[in-house]
Amino acid sequence: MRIVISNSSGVPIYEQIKEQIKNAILSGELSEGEVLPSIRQLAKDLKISVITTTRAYGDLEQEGFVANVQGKGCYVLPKNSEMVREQLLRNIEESFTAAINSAKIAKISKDELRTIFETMLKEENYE
Amino acid sequence: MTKAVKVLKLDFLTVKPYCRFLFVLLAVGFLFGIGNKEPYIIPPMFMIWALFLASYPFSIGEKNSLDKLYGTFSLKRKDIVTGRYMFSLAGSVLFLAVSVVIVFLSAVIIEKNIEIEELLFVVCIGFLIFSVVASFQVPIFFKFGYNKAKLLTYLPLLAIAFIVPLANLIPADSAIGRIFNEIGKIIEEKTYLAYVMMLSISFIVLYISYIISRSIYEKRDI
Amino acid sequence: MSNVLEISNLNKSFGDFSLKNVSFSLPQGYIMGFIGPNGAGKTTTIKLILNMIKRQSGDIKVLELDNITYEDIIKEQIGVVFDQPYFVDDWNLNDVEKAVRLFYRKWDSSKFAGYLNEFNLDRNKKVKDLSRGMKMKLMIAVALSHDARFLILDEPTSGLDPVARDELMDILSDFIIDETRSVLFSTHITSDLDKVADYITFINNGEIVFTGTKDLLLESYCLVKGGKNDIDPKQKKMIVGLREHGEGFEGLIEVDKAGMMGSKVLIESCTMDDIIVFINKGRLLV
Repeated sequence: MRIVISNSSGVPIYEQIKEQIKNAILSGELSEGEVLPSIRQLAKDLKISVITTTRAYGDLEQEGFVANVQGKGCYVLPKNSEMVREQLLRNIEESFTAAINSAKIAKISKDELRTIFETMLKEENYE
Repeated sequence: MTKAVKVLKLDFLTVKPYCRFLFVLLAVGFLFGIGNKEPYIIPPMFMIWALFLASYPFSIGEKNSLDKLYGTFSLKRKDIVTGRYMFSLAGSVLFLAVSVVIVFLSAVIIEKNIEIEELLFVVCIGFLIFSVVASFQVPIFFKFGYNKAKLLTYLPLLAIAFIVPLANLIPADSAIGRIFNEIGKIIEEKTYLAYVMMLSISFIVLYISYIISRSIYEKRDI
Repeated sequence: MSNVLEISNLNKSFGDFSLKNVSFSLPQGYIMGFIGPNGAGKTTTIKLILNMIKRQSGDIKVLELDNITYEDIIKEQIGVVFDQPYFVDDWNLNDVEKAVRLFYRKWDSSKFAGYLNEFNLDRNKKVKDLSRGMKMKLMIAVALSHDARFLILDEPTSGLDPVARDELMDILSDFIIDETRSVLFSTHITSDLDKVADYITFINNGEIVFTGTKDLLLESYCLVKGGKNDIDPKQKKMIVGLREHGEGFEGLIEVDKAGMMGSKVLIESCTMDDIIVFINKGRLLV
């Protein structure tokens, strides 16, 4: 498993861990049934607090990505299309927000923005 | 009781690295005794060295912050005091025994005959000096720590140096003079009463000092 | 979930300094950083936990036992490390073991030998010949060799280079991996704790300013910076430890008040050092 933490990105560490594990699950890198490193081992490896990793795993469990079994550890749940869809929708919203912010700074109009989007959809052959 | 014994062992470990210095002192005592052709001076001399030994756990302890080490162990203040007194006592008895051996050795070298009564006498006097001075010094060490108390504790030694000549000036017919005379006679006759008296006083004084030290150290913040 | 340490309403005064109503707890299985400027009361609090000085009022429970009544039992189960070694200079490491094992029923000689090996400590060397970092590791080796459940460290990293400090953090992370062991770690070098501490207790001038998870502390405040005219006096009052200089100002602001600073200022996340420095400054200004 690959987890790389940035201390200067401004994104809370537990958030970064969550996103990276989620993406690994969605992309298939982490397969169903695979056991994640224990909360404490992960904290030690990444040199962060146990509470942070606990929080990340807790959130992942709540969102349905993993299940925590006492004594066995945290293992990856099968992807269900609902959760995948939700995550991807979230990714889309984030990207759109980034695009809108950039547009604001460059003072690009709403219409110009829409045009750019339509053009790109055509280029990507998006049906 | 066993905790105090552990402190005793710890004190021995504490002074172990400095044993070499003590051997030098012993050798000095030996040579002095032979040189003066007066071997009877050896036990009291060794008792003075025993006083130094008794102060070592305090001086070494303070230099190395050993009180922090004690603080991490399950030790009560009273155990530390008891162990420390046991150490002083053990040291003095050890030195006393060694001094007696040295007396006989030097007697052989300078070809002098040793009278047991004379020997017993200086042994008791030596132990008495040790007890009185240690009883004074140890509570002061417990109260103020070694560095602050250092100078204070030399007082009794100075006192002895002064009192003895002064004592000779007390007129024989005064009340005090008469008591001293009585005691003097008993001691001179070297009856067993004298030895018992001196040893009893030694132990009584040490015990009182022990009680005082315990109450002092109990209250102290480290 | 039990608490390995529970302090409530602890009070102790010396001539010119006093601990006032100090209260905080550490749940079992975690690392707590005990931070504050020099002289804030960290060492005093630790000495009170160890009953090296007598408390005047309040309660201290270690491993759920009163720290005075059960001092004997508690001390067999805790390991303590101070900033200076507390062994006789002229002892070699064998002497150290002889001295220490007298007082621990669960002393494990082979474990101690293992740590000496791991830390590269030569048994025949004298304590005084060890470097500062090695002296600290020696104390840790002793603390870890009698099955201690709770490690208390008082400024163990002062004077250590970053490599030694990093090694210590690794050792502590390993120590708590089994969830039943805990660490209390006092320091004024907060970068050590930035990473591995789970809980933080911040003490200043004898009083507890904050106690809780490190994440919560760092999320409670943020840094605010701006030009002299970017905010009005009313807004300036809300800033903790305000520092004004030729080109502007900076300070700390509580997160829920950050929105009231207006749009001209820069708001960014702060480090623990920022929190200590600005809160301390704020106290001095008051």
